[in-house]
Amino acid sequence: MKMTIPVLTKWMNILEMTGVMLALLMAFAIQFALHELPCPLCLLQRVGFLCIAFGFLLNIRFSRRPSHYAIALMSAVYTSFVALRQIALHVVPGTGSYGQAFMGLHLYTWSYIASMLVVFVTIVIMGMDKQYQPNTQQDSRLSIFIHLLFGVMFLLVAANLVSLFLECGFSQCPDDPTHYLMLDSKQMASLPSPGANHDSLLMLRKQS
Amino acid sequence: MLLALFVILLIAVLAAWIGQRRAACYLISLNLILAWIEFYHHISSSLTLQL
Repeated sequence: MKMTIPVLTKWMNILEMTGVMLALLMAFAIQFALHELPCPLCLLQRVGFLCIAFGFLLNIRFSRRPSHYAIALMSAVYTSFVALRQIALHVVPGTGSYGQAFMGLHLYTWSYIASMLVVFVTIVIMGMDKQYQPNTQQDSRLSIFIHLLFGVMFLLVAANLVSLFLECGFSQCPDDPTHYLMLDSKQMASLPSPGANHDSLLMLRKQS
Repeated sequence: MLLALFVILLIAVLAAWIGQRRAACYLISLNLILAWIEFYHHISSSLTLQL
């Protein structure tokens, strides 16, 4: 395959999208392996990363367009704002941090670095004019790959949705979540209530 | 609101998957606007205190 500008930008889009998806998968791995529940700001960063990936996915699925890059850029700026807000919450010494550090930095700091990286790389890629030429035949192998990417993206969004529902239900998420609200409420419902215990004790006393 | 963001995103992915580019773009734009509103809602109370 000859490495022309359209081919190069297509593969750069795939690379960026795969990188963002890997970051989201890693966040999931940390959530379940280390039992670190995502806070509301962490969830907003996940939304931002998913929107970044979606912008690149549009570029891969359809032709490359400035509007698709705009979605990715706006999402990256959004993610960086949310991450910066979370950094600002913990920047003063003695205010603690959220979650464990990964390679010396917390996940929200990595999130800020990653989103800024996406901004710079996207600006460089979208500046290549020749990719916007009307296109072209679709490679059949790439078409299967696109469906695979869509499948992974769909699963990621669905898994985040389920995880969020289990964590918060329909109510507002707590700032510092410690347990899955919906799972605990089901466990509580299956246990006998204190009132029921009291009633059974009264029955026993009457019998004796 | 957070649940709604993920639901809209899920529908947008499905729309793009079946080839509805314009619908997907509108949905993701709506999602981004709602995400900014949610972020503002999250920080507004503490901003008022600090400013």
